[in-house]
Amino acid sequence: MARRPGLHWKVRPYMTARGRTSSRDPLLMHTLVSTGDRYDPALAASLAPASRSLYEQARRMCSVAELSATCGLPLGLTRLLINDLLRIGQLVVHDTRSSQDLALLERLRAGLLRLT
Amino acid sequence: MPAFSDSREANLTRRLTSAKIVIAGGFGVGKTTAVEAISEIPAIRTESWMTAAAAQIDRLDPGIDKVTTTVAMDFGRVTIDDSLVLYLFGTPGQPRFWPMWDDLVRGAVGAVVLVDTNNLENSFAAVNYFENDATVPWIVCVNPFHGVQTHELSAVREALTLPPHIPLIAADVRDPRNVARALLTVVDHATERRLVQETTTCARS
Repeated sequence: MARRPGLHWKVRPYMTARGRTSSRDPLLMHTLVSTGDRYDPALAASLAPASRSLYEQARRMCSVAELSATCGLPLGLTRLLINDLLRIGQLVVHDTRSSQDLALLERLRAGLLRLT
Repeated sequence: MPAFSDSREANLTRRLTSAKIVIAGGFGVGKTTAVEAISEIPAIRTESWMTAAAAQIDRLDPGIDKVTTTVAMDFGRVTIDDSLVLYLFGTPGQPRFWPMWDDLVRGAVGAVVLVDTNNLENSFAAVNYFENDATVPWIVCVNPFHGVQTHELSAVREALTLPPHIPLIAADVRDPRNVARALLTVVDHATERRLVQETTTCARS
């Protein structure tokens, strides 16, 4: 019988996380991730349901928070699984700019001014 | 030339950056309204992040017709330019969710603390948090419910014992342009603070 992606309601998050409770580098909620230039269907098929659904969603670049919400996974678990995929080079992080960078603030200012 | 446009798109994608502004405040003060007003996607609500035990029913003042609430938090997205996306995160209003605030605020450009003048003490805790426990730039925005502002801003500043350098504005957050103005105030305040920091660093060296 074909398994549906995502977590079964009876599977607690710590099972999927194999007992781990924290990841080494916490990803920010608005950090952008994606599969980059390549998407590997064979890899997708080999992943556990929760990771597979994250990997599929990340074909379109989105934030950690969006991935967590669209895949219906708790934020902590989402971070762990994303970190696993980053470690094997199957996801890339796009966002590295400091939030107090003056050039970034200037671009925000220009964009928001258009909306007022 | 499909190959060319593909690679150009890939390059644009690679350059894409995101930023975050947090919308904080007491329970039922208009955080979700503010996020929904300006977001280009329907605000994403994330109940699934919380355990069932935390998802209790909350009561609101009968004066405000809001029957549901943000159980965890919700967020929206605003495209600033072709390579910058701004995410807005509404904080969970109830005190029991406060450990999540540190996580939400980390890496933020700044925060807007929404206050309702009919229920100022509702936002005291949020003001305290940004004054004492966070390092990000923040501003206070009075959300005049039903478009009527019943208190003078100076009285609000006094009641909240806001330090003079914290910007205080009034904005009806049902209007997207007003929300943009509040966000702009955060960005300007962050810029000012950054410039002061740079000047201080230069003067010291």
